[in-house]
Amino acid sequence: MVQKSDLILGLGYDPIEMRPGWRNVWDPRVHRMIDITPEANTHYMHHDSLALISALNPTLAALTSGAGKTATWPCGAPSAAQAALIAAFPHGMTGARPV
Amino acid sequence: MIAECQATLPANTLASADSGAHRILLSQMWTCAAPRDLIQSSGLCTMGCAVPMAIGRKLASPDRPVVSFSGDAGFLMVAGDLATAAELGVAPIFVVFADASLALIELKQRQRQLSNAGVDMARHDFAAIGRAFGGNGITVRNRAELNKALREALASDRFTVISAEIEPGGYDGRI
Ligand SMILES: Cc1ncc(C[n+]2csc(CCOP(=O)(O)OP(=O)(O)O)c2C)c(N)n1
Ligand SMILES: [Mg+2]
Repeated sequence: MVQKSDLILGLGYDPIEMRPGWRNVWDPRVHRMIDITPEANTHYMHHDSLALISALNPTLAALTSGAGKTATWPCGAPSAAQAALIAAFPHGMTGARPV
Repeated sequence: MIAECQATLPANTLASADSGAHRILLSQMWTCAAPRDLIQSSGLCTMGCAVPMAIGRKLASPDRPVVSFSGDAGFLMVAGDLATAAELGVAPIFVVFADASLALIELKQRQRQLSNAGVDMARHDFAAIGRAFGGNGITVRNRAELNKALREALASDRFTVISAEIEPGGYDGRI
């Protein structure tokens, strides 16, 4: 789903301890990825196509001021991914809920 | 284990999670009724945070059920914090995923085709550690036992350590 996105935003995203297969999930030569973080990327767990090294709250406030809401993912991929995740694990219980 | 905890604990439960394989699985499964119902160390991913965070949560919200989820290694790092829970007289529930392994690191070693080094550990009696500090302590091995332990813990005015014994490698294919 991330790889199908036309824009990936990393908002304060500062990954550590990424497992093999979870690194460089997107390719900044193919995907548009904007990282907004107060520190420069020295973790090399992913790369961006644009980095804003700045405080998160004022940066987001400046970028979104005057911006209206636009529809994203008309195909509903995020909710489908969420539903698949829920379906992948057991639910329910054996015993009784406390009274 | 996680499904049983979610189904048994009331919807207003406050939770904390430690760092490791159990936390990744829990994060994929746990449903929160409100923001911050589940807190974890998302920045530094520090092991050992779940137990003291649960003590703090119970101190701040004595009327709500509080549960921590720790791996066996992370729980061992801060087992002495149970003294603080006892001295403060608070009654959170401390759930330990006892798999005799530093599972997340074992998984990373395997995925990188490194040999197994320093990630297997012994089975310790975490329930007895809880009792030694004046709380309740119980070891469970299936969902029915876990359900019973959780209901007793919710009704107790003392803290409870629930050691849920699982097989090493139980996270394979799930996280
Ligand atoms: C203080 C600290 N030391 C080391 C690590 C690296 N680390 C992450 S998970 C892990 C193993 C955790 O083992 P356990 O608590 O048993 O949880 P499990 O992975 O078995 O669920 C280690 C050593 C860390 N995150 N924090
Ligand atoms: Mg473990």
